[in-house]
Amino acid sequence: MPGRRALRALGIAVLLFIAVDLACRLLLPQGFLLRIEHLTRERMATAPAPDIEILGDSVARSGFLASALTDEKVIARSDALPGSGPLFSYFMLRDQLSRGEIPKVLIIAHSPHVLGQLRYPLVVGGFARWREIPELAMETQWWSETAYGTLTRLSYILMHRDSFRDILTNRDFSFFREPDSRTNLISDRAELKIFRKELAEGRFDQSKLPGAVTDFYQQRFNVTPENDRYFRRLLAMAKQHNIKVYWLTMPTPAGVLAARNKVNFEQDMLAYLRQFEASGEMTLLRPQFVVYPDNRFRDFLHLNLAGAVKLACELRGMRERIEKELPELNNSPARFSELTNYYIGAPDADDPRRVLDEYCATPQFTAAGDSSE
Amino acid sequence: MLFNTLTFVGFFAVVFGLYLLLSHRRQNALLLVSSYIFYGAWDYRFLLLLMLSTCIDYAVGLMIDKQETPEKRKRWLIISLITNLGILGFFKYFNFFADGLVELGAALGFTVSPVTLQIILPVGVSFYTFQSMSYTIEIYRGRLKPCRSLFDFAVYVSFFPQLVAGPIERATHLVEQVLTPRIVTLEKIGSGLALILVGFFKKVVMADNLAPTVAEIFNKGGNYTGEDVLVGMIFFAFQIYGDFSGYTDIARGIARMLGFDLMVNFRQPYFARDPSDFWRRWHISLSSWLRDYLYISLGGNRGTPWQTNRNLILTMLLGGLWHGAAWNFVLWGLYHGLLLVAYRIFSERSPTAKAAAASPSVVRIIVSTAIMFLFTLYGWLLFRAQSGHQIVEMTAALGHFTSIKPILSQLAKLAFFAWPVVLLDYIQFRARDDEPALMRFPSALQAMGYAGLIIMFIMFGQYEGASFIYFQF
Repeated sequence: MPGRRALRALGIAVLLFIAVDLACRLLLPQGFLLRIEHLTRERMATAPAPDIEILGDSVARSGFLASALTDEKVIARSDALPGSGPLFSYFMLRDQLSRGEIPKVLIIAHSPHVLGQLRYPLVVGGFARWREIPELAMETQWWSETAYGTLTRLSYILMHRDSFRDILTNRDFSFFREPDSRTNLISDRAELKIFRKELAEGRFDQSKLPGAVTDFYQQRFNVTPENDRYFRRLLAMAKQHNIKVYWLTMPTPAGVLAARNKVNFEQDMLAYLRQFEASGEMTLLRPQFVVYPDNRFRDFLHLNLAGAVKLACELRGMRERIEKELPELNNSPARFSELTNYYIGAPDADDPRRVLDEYCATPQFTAAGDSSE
Repeated sequence: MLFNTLTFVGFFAVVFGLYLLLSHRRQNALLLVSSYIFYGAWDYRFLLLLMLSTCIDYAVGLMIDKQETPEKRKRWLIISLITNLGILGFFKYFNFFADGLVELGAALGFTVSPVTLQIILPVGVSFYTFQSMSYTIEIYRGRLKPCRSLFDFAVYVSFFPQLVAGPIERATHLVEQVLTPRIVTLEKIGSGLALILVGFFKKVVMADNLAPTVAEIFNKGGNYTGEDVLVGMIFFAFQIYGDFSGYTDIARGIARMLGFDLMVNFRQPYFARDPSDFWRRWHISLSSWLRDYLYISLGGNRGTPWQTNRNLILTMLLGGLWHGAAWNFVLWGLYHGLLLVAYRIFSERSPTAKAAAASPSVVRIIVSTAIMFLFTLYGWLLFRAQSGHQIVEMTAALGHFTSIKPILSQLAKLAFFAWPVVLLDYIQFRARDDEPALMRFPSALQAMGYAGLIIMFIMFGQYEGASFIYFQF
């Protein structure tokens, strides 16, 4: 009876697979994005809300130092999540608001290209809570993608198959290393410590960008219907909780902007964003692309630490504008003292605010400094 | 609806669950409805075409059976052939011949106004028209009694596991299975699932991982090196085999779970030792269809050697054209026709070769297999190329090799994705029967093999739901 034998063998094979999958789950680390997602969601689900909360993707995670907006009265925190878009931000904020933790200001600093991506299997497989999956499925009507995402949640090998491919076909073992510190959840204090060391070593003197801009930057500005829907919901939810929302477009290298100009990317992006400003749902803090020199980037998208410090110095100026538009930002000393211990800790020589004071006073990190480079 | 999508998995799970609960008549009703849903998922408008072909051949089948004289029977058969070939000709070849006419006119100095239509090719049209024609031809030849129920005949024509990419079933084989009650046993479910797993592996792991390299080389647009062309040909050989035989395995596995037995379509074709051996192993349902209904009708090998060779070339030319309305398919058919003729002449004129072929040594087997594989590879170049210019350029590049390194690194990639298929094919080739290779082993060994395939499938499978190459035919 070869068919019956095959059926028995297939049953054993499935059990063998489950055993291997389980062993991988127990013995191997979680993939980079999942590690960050779990940490960020957990933090937003348990920590008190800051005064200013920053949402975005890896570009904001690595380039937006929340300390730039933190001072003696106001605390800012970055909850930017690599690879994420409005859908991720919406669910994370909803968790937080449901606990009554309401920030006063939200700064959305998503890279505009992520509005055209959804990473839906990752949303279902690694990000959403179990109870959110039916909601997502009903919302998107993407049944097979939801089923696939759910399967990735159940199988470690399926979830991490890209990493396994990299290991076996490209001999890329980065999966086993700790996530890149610049997109990890390390504090501004630690980031700036690395920055000082790298600045002293002259790491930021030379641009390491390759000569050609990839096709990726020649794609038109696009917003998927799902991202659009969740972006609007995010704004509506913020409005309902009296949260003031700002948009900040992260800096870009000149080569990328030139490539994007060819497809009217910036104009289309501004047209999309301005509708929210017109309806009073969002204020554009700095909507246009601002060009930074190539040596302020570690690739075509992400600022290096020198770029992050430069942006931080500019953000300090923008803080004044936020205060003018929202005078009550500084008006809760009790809340500030409650959050201080949680977010800032005891001041020391590495206090990020002090470090930024030091560098923002030097021409090296001002616009004038860049133009002379 | 593609086999390699979760949508199909869900669809089949529902169909199979219901199927187990129903009686024979209701199972047929379920098969018909699900087949139409399966086909309509591509473009529901083409269901009408499928229904038209079904109704005409059903009526023609009854009419042929009623006729007393061969002339009248033939007249009805011609109606079936004209209908099916008309559908095929219009949807598949209209623009091809219209363009050809314009070019011919221009070559002769006439101006012919181009009349090309925006025709969408109905998926699987070549498969189901051939299958439907097999029904009327078999009734005409007196080997089959017509179906009394239109409904049963419609199940035969539209049976979803093999509707869009074969195997092209013979009416004598499949109609009987539609008409008689089928028993779904654990035996059939087990062997069906084993076939499906191997089929998915061939398609999603082997073929779809080789496809990007093939596309990159054939879309390069010029400046080919010998290394490019050789890698492109070898990769395409494994891609098309994995794609098409994978589809067949899945189709046979699904059918087997439903209690049907579909014909074997591939018998380790790259182990063929000569051109006629290759065509006994590659796309068997088409090659045997062409042999039985075209080659033999043309006279087969009953006439003079010249007539036999003419019949061979004509059959292969039409076999090439069956694949699509493009000159490279015609050229591919002609190439294989010429190979068959050359082999025929060579083996007939060389008694030593004939004797050696009857009891070959190991060395001879290896050498002849390797030579045939090289001929097959060049055939794939003709098949995959997008223009005559590309064929010329790529052929010329085969004379210019600079380094073996890139070939070796690409072959390592090929080996990584293809070794399980090659190993299974070799085991089956040695066994000389059609029982799937893995199913010969004891349960424990089989289980390890299946677990390995599942892990590779999950780690390296391409899940984007890439279409099957033969859907375009």
